[in-house]
Amino acid sequence: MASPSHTRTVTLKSCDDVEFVLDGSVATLSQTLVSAMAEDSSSSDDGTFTWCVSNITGEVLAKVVEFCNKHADISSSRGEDLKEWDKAFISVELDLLYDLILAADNLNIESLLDLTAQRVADEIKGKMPHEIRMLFNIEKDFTDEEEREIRREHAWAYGGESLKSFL
Amino acid sequence: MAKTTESKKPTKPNKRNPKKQFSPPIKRPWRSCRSKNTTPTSPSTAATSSSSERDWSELPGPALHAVLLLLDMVDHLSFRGTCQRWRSASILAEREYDASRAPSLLISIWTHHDLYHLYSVSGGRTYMMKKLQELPGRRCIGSSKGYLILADEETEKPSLVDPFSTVRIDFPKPPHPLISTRFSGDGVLFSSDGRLIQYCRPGDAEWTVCDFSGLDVLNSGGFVSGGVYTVTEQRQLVALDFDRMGLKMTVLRALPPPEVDLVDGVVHLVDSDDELLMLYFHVDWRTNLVGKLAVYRLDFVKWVWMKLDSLGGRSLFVSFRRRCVSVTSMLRRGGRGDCVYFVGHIAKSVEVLSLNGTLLDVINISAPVCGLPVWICPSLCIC
Repeated sequence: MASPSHTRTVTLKSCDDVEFVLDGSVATLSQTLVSAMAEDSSSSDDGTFTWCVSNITGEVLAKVVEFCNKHADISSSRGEDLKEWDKAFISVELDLLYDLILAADNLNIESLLDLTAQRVADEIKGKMPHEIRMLFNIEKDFTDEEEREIRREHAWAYGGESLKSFL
Repeated sequence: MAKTTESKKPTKPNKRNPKKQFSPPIKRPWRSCRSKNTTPTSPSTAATSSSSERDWSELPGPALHAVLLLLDMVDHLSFRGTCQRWRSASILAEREYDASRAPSLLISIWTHHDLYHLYSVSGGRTYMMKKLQELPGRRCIGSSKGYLILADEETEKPSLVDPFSTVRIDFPKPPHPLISTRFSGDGVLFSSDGRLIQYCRPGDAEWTVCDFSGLDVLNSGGFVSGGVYTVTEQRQLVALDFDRMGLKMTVLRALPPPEVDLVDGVVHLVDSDDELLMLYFHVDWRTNLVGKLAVYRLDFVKWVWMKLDSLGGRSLFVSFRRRCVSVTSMLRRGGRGDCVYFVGHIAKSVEVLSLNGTLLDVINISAPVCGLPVWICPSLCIC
């Protein structure tokens, strides 16, 4: 039985077999790793723990590890500096952002989930549904019934004609 | 009493217990056009212009949920109109979402243009609100429990209008001028002018007038668990009750003011989450700034006022001009709780004060303030 505090290092392995070694304290940012380490009884005596992340590539995992290292480092994790760092960190291509969200969800890293959600929210702000769909590669899949409902929802604001540009 | 919409009942105030959970018939009386003066919030990265290869409709539920709670009402509606999966996530989260929103500020409501300004505190920006159909020919005389209280400029007949749906409840012409009008939440429209209180319930053919000329009732009332409370000119709290016939209101009991020096400021009762609060504040008319702030909670059992150090995460949203005051109480998720937002006394800005009267922030509103701005709580749940 290895608890996070007893585990000195954690090895994270991506789906394309890239390995990252994390300090145990860094790994505690991930609730998934915390639970896994708590349940794991086969941890080796030298206090290492290996965890394979099935659907995350090495490129994405490198970003996740970078994030965790920064956020676990208490001396640098203060106020404005960290905010600036986060802002720069999350200014990535949308595809990588998507993968980071999946990773944050998979590894259950709340602070990373919040940061990625903020970026998505910032992208959505001020956009119409069709613009959001275009940006995020989403297909309109509403049934006729739902579409009528949405039209009803927005009829007041948009009137008949301009509704086309809304949807 | 005429209701203009099919079978809608005025159950909106009971947001905590909506009967309908799915597919609420939301009307969207606004356009999400960003005010020219507000700063775009999107990060200026190269990535924003190119679209993604991934299918974002498959985003994990927790991520969608986290995103939703960061959006304000207009963006939330756009989110909801994107695809089925996002729409479902939005509908599932709507009650939590409603509870987490700070009220928005409806400003410039008296203008005769068909565009109105809505300032979203949580979004930190101003929207142009288009064609609020109920407004032409009516002036806004306050807001209460999520409704705007509008009065017809010719007939003085009041209506309650939910600005985010088509729900409208009309009331007959009152015998006395509508001063400090409030909606109790269980369907009673009250109005008091210092000597009398007049009220009207849906279904009543006319208003009932109760003369309290011996009491000097102030323009402030609260409604908690069916009880009606008001304060007198001497800052005495008075509990009122309907008589057996349900017609006349009589004085049940009275309570002296919590402190003796509450004389020269504004006293206002606030009903919030089954609690009755008394808000006291004093404005320095030379500087136009709010000072001497205090909030008390009524202990119904001991029948005494308790001075509060904390609002338990809630915030009070106050709008006032001269003696006209309206207050909304709201629990805010994240952000700043335990403070009081003031608007109306200074053009184009909202003052944020802590409970001990310290000025925490001044928010500039990038739109002309015209008349008394009102705080309203946009709701995704239409009960």
